[in-house]
Amino acid sequence: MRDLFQRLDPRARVLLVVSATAIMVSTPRGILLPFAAYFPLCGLVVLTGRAAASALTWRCVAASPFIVLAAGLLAFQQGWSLEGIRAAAPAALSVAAKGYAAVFLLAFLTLSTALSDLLAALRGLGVPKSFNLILGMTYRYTHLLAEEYRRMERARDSRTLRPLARRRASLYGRQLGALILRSWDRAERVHAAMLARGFHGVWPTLHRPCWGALDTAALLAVSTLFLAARLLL
Amino acid sequence: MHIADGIIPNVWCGAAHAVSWASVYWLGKNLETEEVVRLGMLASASFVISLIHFPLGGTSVHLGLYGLAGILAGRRAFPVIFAALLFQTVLFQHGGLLTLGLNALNMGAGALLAAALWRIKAAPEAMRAFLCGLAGVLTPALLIATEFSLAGYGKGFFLMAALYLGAGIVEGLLTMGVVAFLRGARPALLARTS
Repeated sequence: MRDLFQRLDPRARVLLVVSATAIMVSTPRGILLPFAAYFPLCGLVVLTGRAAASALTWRCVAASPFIVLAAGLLAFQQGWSLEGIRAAAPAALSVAAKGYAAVFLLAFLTLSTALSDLLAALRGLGVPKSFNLILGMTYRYTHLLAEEYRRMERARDSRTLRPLARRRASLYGRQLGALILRSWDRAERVHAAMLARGFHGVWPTLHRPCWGALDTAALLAVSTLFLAARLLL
Repeated sequence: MHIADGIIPNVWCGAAHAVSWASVYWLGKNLETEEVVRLGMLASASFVISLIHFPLGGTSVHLGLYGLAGILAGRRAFPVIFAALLFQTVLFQHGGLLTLGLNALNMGAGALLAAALWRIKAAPEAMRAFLCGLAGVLTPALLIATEFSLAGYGKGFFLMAALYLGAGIVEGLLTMGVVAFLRGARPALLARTS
């Protein structure tokens, strides 16, 4: 049961989360009853995969400022009076519920699926070839450039005796400029290496994604359950 | 500011996805492999830069430097920003899968405006760089405030957009610094899109 989600094709996992989210988000503002079914259903989906509860909670908390702000704007739209807040409360609560349910599912998808699998899913779902290559390059070199930036920070800190308040923008500007310059130079070296190894515009992959009956069944079952909650409650 | 899922109507998100993917396809057409590698590396650098936070008005704002992306990549900045946003969505839940297209349009508009501003030769380079940095922040902020207003959330987000003026000034100064550095170290990079 705990491995069911991981056994699905990455494309099915993405489509499953997108369809469930789209159905939940399509619930009209101010209607709260369907969420009594949505949240247990989200919980059921999460139980079919491996994702740490603490990480899921933390990611939902991290997304809170934007969701709370949007819900707050709705709640106080009709003024600060108790009647106004009471009248706007269902709409504000439903926006908050939609936001948290969507973040919950997205966090589950990203915690239970490797980034490389998600990119493979996007490839499989027909992302343009050039964009797919850009995504691949971004995925490969982000950690490396992050480490490069950290090295530059360490070097800056070890050579700066006190904060340079007035010249900070110029200091950071030079540092970011150096990062961009290094990434540009690296791009040229990487391109030369890719050509030397016979790159012809497509990332080679060991595993070919395979869509099976389980993927179709899971996608249909989850979509139907969420749709039933949306239409019947 | 990345719009999370559940906040904006589905129809808008679907339309924005369609426009974004069409733009990615159109702006990424006829790309040489060499350019793809550079854009990928720029998207990586953009993502790394977005991890840098600074305090603003009691909250924390992260750098985007979308204006700088517009200066360095011109109209090709849109796919670069889309890629960086996709990674932010997937890794940190900044935004959602349904709103990814809308977020890309908002941020990408800032970069495309910056790319257009960078081509205006009449103004001094430092001023253009500052304006590009400012446009890279304020354009998305104003677009998001307008979208929220149209979606029935009132005018409250325009106050947030005003708060982002401070972030825009910081990014403008940083963009000025980066451009001054690149002008001295590798002027050819700045000449590519101007």
